[in-house]
Amino acid sequence: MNAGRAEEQRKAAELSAARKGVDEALNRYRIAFENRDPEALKSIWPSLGRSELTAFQNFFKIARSIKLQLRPLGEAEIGAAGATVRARRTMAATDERGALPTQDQTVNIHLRRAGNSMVIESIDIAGK
Amino acid sequence: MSRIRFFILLSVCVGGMAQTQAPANSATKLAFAIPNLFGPDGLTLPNPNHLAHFDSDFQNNFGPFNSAIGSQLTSLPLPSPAAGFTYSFDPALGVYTRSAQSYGPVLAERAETIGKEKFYAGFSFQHFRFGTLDGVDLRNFASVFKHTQTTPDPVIKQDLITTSTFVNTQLDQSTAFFTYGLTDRIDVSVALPLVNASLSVVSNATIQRIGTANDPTIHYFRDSNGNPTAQKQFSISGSASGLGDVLARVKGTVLKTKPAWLALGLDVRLPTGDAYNFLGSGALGLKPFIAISGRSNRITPHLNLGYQWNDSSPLAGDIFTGTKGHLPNQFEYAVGFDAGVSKRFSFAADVLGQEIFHAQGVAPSTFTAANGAQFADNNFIRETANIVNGSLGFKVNPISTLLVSFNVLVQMNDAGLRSRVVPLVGFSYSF
Repeated sequence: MNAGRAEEQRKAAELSAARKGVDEALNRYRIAFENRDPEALKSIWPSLGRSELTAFQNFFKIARSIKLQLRPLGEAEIGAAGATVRARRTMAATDERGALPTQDQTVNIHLRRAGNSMVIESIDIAGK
Repeated sequence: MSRIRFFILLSVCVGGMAQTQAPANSATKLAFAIPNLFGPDGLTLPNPNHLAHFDSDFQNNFGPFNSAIGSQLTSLPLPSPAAGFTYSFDPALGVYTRSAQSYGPVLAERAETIGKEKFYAGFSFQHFRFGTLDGVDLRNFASVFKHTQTTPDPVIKQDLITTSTFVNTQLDQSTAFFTYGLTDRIDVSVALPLVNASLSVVSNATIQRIGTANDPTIHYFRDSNGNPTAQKQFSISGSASGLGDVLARVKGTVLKTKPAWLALGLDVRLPTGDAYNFLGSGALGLKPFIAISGRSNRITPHLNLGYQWNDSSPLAGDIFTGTKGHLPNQFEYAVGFDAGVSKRFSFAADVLGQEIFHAQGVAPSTFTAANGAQFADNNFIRETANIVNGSLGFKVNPISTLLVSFNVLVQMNDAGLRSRVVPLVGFSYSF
């Protein structure tokens, strides 16, 4: 009995840690984006290719300010290798000409475990 | 939102201006300059014995010259209202990216749109000095005037008047243009040209006494002292300024592929310019067009194809009665490239062509007099004019989103009413 309960507690703790890891990863992504910090973005999204990173760097150069909101739509799906979060991504940004049109999409954020934390593997559009 | 209101207000003003132009039939207007060059009755000599009226293609059919100007006014190359800075949103990455690395062509159109809710304003200045018509030098336009009076004496009718005419037509076109991004894929633009047109005509006329060589009292001019003379100079000039033909454009990017983008558009040219003063064509024009832009990093090839349909204009009809005639339609193309040389400098080169169908043209000819003497003449004809110009320009980004443009349009063939070189300077700002 005790062994079974201990196993459940361990799994609950792992799940809790994984959810915390997901939240932290999303937060790091948001902060990197809002701070227009390509190095921090690469750190939380290490699989970014060179051309993709260049696209971020170019956007960060023209952006005067960025406000990013990530609102999870339900619980993250936690797996052995990582997690997937369905979230509403809303970005409000300004450049030297003023406010850019606000972008609002539902995205699937795929994360993978990296040690004790989570990093982003990919983001794809899930629809409006 | 204030940008939308501004654009709507601008459109309403333009629409209002389009309705306020009323045709005027006044001898002070530039379109009446050539018909009135030799006086209200044409080239008629003061001979009291018979009505010595002489006619030529040049004056009797002066309409072709006005029509040629009208045709030219439908196709004055306007600077592209496409913004130099274009952005599109990459939903996968969640970032805005520059759609093109170059600031775009100067006189051609690009497939990229400005971006949703973006606003772009610009101003340009162009100077046109029309020096040739179908390659015929307008500084020395030869005409032969024939005696039209049905005098019983056929010898008298053999006399001619030859003229060498200097026609100096110049246009200064200052254009303000505005573009607003309705959506990420659709732009609306308006171009407001302010035109200063000037025309001066000087004609040196000489009586060629073919049949009356022994009697200088039959055909003669009178000089300023009232003495008979065989030569006389006639001149007339004038100028006018005002709003030209307003151009409204809608353009939408319909296809985005990795190698190229394709946009469809429609230009609506409103007859807001005073045609009788060569400020506008006097005809409504519609031009559906296709713009294709390549998607390479630094060098962006582009291709424009369009068909310009023109309504009727008094310049193609009878300016005295106000009867309108159909201004020739034309097929237009532009092929070239623009290249981002550096972060703040881009270069553009194009070949701009127009195929004007049933256009007014001129054909040099030789008139043989009754005594066998030959004189240079010009006949007006209908033709398909294939006009080709080269365009070379560059854009500089000195600060923020300010772009300064320089361009020269260079005549590459002889067809049509032409300026050898048309310089352009302009600036634009993306908000």
